Amino acid sequence: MRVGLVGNPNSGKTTLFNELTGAHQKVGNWPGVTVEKKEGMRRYRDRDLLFCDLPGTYSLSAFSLEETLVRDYLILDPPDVIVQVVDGSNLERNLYLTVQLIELGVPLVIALNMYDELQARGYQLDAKLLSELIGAPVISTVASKGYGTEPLLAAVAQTAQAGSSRSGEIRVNYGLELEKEISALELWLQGHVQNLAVPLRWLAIRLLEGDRDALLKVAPDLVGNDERQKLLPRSQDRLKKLYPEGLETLIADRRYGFIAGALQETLKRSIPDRREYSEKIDRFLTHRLLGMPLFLLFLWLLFQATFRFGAAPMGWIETAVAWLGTSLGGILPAGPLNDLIVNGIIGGVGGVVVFLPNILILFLGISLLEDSGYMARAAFLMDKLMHAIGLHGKSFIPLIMGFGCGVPAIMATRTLESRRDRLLTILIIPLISCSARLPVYILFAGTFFPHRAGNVIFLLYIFGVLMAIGAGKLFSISLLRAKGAPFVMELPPYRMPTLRTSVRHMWDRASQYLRKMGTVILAASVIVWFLGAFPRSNGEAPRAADSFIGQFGQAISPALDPLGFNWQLDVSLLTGLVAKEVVVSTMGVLYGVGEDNSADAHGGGALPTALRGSGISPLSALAFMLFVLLYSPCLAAITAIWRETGSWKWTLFSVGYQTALAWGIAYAVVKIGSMAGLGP
Amino acid sequence: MHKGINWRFFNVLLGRSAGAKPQPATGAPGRFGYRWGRQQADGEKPLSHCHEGDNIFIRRVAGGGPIHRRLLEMGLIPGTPIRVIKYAPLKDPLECEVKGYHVALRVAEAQMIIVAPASP
Repeated sequence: MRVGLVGNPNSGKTTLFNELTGAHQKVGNWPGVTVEKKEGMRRYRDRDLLFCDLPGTYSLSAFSLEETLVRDYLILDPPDVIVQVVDGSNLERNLYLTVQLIELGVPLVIALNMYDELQARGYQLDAKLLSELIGAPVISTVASKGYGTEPLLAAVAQTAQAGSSRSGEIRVNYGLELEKEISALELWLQGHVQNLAVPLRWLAIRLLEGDRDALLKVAPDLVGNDERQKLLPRSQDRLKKLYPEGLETLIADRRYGFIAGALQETLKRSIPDRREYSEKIDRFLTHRLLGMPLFLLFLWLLFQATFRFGAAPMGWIETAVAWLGTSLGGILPAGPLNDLIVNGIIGGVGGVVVFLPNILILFLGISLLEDSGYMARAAFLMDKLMHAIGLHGKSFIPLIMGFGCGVPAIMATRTLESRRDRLLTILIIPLISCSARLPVYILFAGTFFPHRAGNVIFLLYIFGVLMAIGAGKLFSISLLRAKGAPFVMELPPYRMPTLRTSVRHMWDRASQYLRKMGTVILAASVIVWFLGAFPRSNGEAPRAADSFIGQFGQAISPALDPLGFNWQLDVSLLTGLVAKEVVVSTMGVLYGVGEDNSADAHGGGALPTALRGSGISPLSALAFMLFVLLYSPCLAAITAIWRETGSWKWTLFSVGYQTALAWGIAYAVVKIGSMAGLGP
Repeated sequence: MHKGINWRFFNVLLGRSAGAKPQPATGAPGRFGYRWGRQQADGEKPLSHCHEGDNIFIRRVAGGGPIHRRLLEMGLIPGTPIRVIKYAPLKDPLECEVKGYHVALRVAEAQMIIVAPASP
């Protein structure tokens, strides 16, 4: 039996979904779009219930991609029962969707969620009466604590058995004239179409509202129908004359009128509303002067936590990986297989796994921010700035996450509603200097600018941000000129996130990250290892310069010669495509100094010495760092971009424009620098 | 005694700030056919001209396109009381309370919402 979960954003829908399905979840994408599809199983009284968590929507009017998706799901592939999750502390607006579902005539059960908040605010709801008024069972739940799941499942089973709820019989009165037009249209439709998957009334209303897409989906033969093409505009004109404010206003007004009437009968308040709690907190958090600094403080805390608390576990994992490497290395017979497993697989994958603690903590922090409601305030504060770049306030958090790692940052763009905003943000995230590039900076800045390393690195970070801003502005006036989503955004009341739900959300995202990146990195590491280990001569591993990758590096070096890079740098850039840290380890290998590639404060150490002796000028070193900052995102990021955009085209574009930009900037720096007399 | 105190300073500090500055009074029809800077006879003005604490309700939503429908569906329908809570530090967007929840709107969107003072 299939059950669809719908509801407003911030209504606790996903929390309820997690409560109902626990660990038995499967995440994928809706076909053809990059919207996440979550399904999960729950066993109830020896029946298997397949729950599908649909994206949060405010309405089914198909304004956004998510709304279209939900509406299409309901009319083209309807489940056996729909559970609408309603935020009990925000009934009026939530019930708007309910009205639309009622008109669609689906078998409906209402999960009145956050019931604890409703009560805490001093309200009392007559759920039984409300059920009768809307024609669907209303079950109180508190998803974050797990209350109400049993009665909900019972109601779901019961409704499925009944085959429908009474909701089909309930209707909103749209006023005399509109009702007349609706009936006339219904009559006409009846004569021209059979076996409609949706109620005639629903389709009639949608047509009058101007929704041609609905017609296409449920009765495609009627699209070209001449009669309809004449009938419909005539109706609409008549109505426009009678209602100058427009049909949309009338319909919305009537629906809310229905809701108000129902709530009048069922909702009573016994003590004064205590909602001001959230407002009081907001006095500080979105304060004119304090708001921004506080926000920056929270971000800073988040990153501190990520690195501080992540440092120790990171060390453990590093040790464990190293131990695994040496023990396997000792057990397996020497030779290519040993090399492959130890250096290729364990080295490559180990490099990614080591970041797991950081990723987990970062995701936990993000979950807490989101679940508490603060994320919306962050977007509220930052929107003006973001808008100036052509972005949305909600883009700020993903961009900031880019300082840690681009991969979760790209995944975080899911919170953005419009595809255009998402795409734009994704395109500029990799320009922000992620933590993987830091080893490269430390090495090169430490070697070539020994006493000013800190400043140089800081400037690189700033430069990255400036590039991101510039690119954002450039793209939003050229390629992605569409205006982007309007801002209208709900600021949900502050809620105390339960540890349970936040950990779950964190784990959701982290496991996705691991699964997808792990497989790709594994494959890539093997390939890179292979390119470096062959062709063998006399049964021995080739010297770096003779391996495939070395040859490839030498082949492309003409392109990079004007930048002053030698072939070792070229090869490192290639291997750096897997992960930016690999640049450093590759150089260690190429210069034969082994794994020790640290550079101390005075530029001492084996690798720095080797680098200095290799004839690279400080100017080229700077150009190299800029190149690493800007060029193609690492493999994990490329995969993330591909998954989030769903398009080869944009992924390749990302790789291409960044590399071109990197080359251009590096070249400019070298040229200008030599003209200024700083170069070789 | 009160003359020496800069009340505006305190008001700003406590967050009781004024809203966006009203547009210059040109009198010419603006983007949505609405005359900026000059209030209609019955006190109508766009939401973006309102300040914190104004006692107002929605008259109508001007403009068109998907944003128009979106605003209506989110509960900003004629006759609904609406309260301006505050403007963001950069004066944009603004936070309002309507139908029991808080919504943030850009000034450009708030300009489409025509409100009038509620009768006391």
